[in-house]
Amino acid sequence: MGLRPPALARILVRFSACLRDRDFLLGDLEERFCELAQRHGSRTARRWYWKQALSAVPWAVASHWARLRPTSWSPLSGIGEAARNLARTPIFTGVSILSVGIGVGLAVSVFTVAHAVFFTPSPYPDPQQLVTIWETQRPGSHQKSDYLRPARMQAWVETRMRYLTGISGYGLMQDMVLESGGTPTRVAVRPVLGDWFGTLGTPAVLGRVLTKADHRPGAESAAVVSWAFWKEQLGGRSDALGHVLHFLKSSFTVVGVMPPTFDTDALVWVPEESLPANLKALAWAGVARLRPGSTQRQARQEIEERSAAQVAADSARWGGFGATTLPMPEAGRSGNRSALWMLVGVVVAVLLIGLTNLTTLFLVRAQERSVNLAVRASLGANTWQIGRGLFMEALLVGLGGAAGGVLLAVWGRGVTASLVFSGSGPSAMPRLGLLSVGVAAALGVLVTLVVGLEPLRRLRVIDVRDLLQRRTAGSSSTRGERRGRDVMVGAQVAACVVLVATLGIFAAAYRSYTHIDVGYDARRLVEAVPDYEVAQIDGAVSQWRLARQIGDRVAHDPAVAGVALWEEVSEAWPYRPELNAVIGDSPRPPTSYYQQIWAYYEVNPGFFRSMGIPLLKGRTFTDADNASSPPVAIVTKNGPDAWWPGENPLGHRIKLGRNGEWLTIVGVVANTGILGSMGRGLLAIRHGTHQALLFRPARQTVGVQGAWKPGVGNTPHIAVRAARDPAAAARAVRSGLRSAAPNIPLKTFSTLYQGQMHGWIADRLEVGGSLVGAGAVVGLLLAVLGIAGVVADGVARRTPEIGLRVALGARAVHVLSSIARESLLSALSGLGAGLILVIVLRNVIPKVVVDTETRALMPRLTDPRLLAAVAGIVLTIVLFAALVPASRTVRIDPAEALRSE
Amino acid sequence: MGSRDYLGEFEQVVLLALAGLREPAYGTEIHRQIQGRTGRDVSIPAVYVTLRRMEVKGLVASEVTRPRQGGRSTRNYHLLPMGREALARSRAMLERLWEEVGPEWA
Repeated sequence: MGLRPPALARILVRFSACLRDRDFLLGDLEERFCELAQRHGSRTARRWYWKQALSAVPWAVASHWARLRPTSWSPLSGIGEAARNLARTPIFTGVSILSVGIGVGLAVSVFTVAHAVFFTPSPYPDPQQLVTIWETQRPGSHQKSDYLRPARMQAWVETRMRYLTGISGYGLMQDMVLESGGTPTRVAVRPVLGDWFGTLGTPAVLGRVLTKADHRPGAESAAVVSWAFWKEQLGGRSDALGHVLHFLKSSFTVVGVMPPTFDTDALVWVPEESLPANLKALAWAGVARLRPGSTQRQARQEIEERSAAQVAADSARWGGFGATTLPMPEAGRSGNRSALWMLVGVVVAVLLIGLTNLTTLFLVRAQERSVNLAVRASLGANTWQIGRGLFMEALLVGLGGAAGGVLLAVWGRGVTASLVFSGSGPSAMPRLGLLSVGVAAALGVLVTLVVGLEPLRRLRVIDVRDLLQRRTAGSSSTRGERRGRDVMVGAQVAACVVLVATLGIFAAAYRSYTHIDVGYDARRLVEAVPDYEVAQIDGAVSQWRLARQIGDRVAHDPAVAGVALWEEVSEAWPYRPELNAVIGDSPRPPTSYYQQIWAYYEVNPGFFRSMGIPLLKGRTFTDADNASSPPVAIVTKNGPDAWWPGENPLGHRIKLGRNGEWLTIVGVVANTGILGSMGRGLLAIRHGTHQALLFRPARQTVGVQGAWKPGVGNTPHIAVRAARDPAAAARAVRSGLRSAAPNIPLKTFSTLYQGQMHGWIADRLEVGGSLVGAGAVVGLLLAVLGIAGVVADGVARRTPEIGLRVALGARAVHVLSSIARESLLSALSGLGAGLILVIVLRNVIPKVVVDTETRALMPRLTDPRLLAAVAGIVLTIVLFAALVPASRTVRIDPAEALRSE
Repeated sequence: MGSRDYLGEFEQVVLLALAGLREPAYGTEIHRQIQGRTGRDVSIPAVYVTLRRMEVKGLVASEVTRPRQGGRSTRNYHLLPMGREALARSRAMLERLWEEVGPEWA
């Protein structure tokens, strides 16, 4: 009868219907349409048909989705399948997740710090108007060298400046014992000079800050505490104001609590004027605010000119040191910016290497399934259907790595903090917030997209017929593919060369740190410093009495070969250099920096023998060197070498500073590093430019009426030389201590070597060194993975060929050696490029790795031996990376290898 | 037993229609049966999509018939044992629920 359903509606149905059922559905609809047309007329039938067609659309959307994912596949089942696939290759999975985790962890840590440093608003109003003031090695230098000495701080607080106002500062002191509450605890006390809080401008969050009135003589001793102190020590109570803190045998009333952004450490600020006269801070962190209309440059000039004028007027009083200013953010708690930028660079490099390699690994994975994928493509599967398995695997690796990275970042908070905020603990490290987790998730997604979509992109352009033909023709890969592989291996090898060279420099630096001769054998020395303050043993006499008692008890133990007692009295250095300038009896004014005394010690008679410091001339101290005998001293050899070149120093007399006491030199010992701490002294030993140490018998100075000292004393240290086992000596010290003073805790207890190395490495292995070292290790691991991935890919493609060769009687060794030869050949260009890169970067790499002083100790990067070693290591890595996958292929059954076609 | 083991309302209707036709039956027949017995104006595409879904679940199976003389080929559906079990389960569930409702609803 010729009646047809509406054409447009038919098209709609055609598009909406599922392919399999389309014709049946159209047929059924037409059958019904005809029935309706016969019964109710064509108009009704048409309307009915349109209704049916339109109702098909929502079903079509659902069925289209179902068509995209054949019903056996859902995101969940896809993830399950991907997880099973990954579980089948645990090494690949572990390495992939670990690389992503390390990269993401590093990135999240750096992001958290960068965010805190660069984007957290300063706690001070108008921070760009603030300057910090520092000493410099000499007038006119812009390079800060140290904190301000008390005399300079005091002088400038009282001076009116043209471009600066509100010069003030806080002092650095050793921790004080807080006596309030049950057990005594230590607390960091910062004396404040001038209107420090007023200059910074941050108001207290509770109560008030210290004002000028608090600094007036006779004012009640007030204290302002940090947020952390308030939380930890005062329980965060709102009635903490008015609480009285007892330390230094004085009472301080808490008048204010600072906001958490002001300082993250637990601190107490008190007016300097309220501290006892015998306890003064020797180093001051100066700060000031620019006057309106003044610039940082003007302020710096003014400070530099004033300090130069001070030195010109009285060099001895100011120690010859100049001063300079820095803008606040450069020197404040904002961490080390250059370190941070370097970190960002390392992170970007590690992420890039990691991403490239992971992508390569996934491409290899795709390659292994290429025939399967090509067949699916030829059967009409779309790109997503072909590649979704790999994509899901990439998703799992990306998200798993991101989660691991967050855990790593949380776990490594303390390490990052100490690297960026030089030496501070985890409390200085900003917390990982939601934003950091977001960054990790974003990186995880980025990894997924790059790593998961790249194989998909390649599959889109793959020519299935070509691929199948090539497989059947037995050719392993095209020339273009081979060249691509060579370029990839070359780039990875070049990266490897640079990283190995960097690691080499790092190792050389480390070796130079650990192999410096300190002048005595520190390895079998156990150092113990009782916490005299906590035990409330005041005064040098009672402290020495206790130290001697412990020493006497320990000395009889068979595990102990000798006991050395010493007290450093040179704490004043370098803040009071006028006291350390050596004046000899054959008048010769000190002409250089090195003619000052580096450190001044009071020691017991057994000191030199127990420490193992060789006596070169004269005698050591005896019990006869006491208050009633003439004042004597022993010096290290470098002292007399500078003071009286070519003369016998024994019998010569020296004094320290104009007011010093004449001391007769009775002995000369070998050059030695500063006791109990390494640092610049050791490096100076290495360079042969270190200064002299001066030793005095304690019995002649401690508690002796009228005895002269060059500065404020520290506390007596006890060092025990172990007869054999340091642990046994340590036990002996502990038991000696228990019997002499049962309740006294130990402030320091370690082998002297450990104590020194800890401080030394913390000081010397600079941010750059440790970070670049860590980055280089990670990068190297990733590069090895990359090379292994690319070579494995190449070998996998050649599986049939290798199988054929093995089947024809080729020995595994021959096949392996040919693969090794080819891999090494393709690595040669990369090796050359890498070596050239190292030579070009010879000045940059060490700069990033270590500080200026240590750089002088390191081998040159252009040293042929070093380059040869680097080349050898890298080629070994390439060989290893090539032979591991190749040996797997050689081991398989030739028939199976051929079947892999 | 998970919620996926129970049939949706429209699935029950389609399966019952198929059972009522003494199977096998094709789309138009099922559609006509539903309309005739329930008076519901359902669309044929909906019937097809539902049948397809139930085929995937293993409740029904289909086969394509040879074209009849001058006619067309059709996809004929028939119930599978799992489909019968699902229907029986749904019925039992509904009956249990109705028993609890009480006589005033009868």
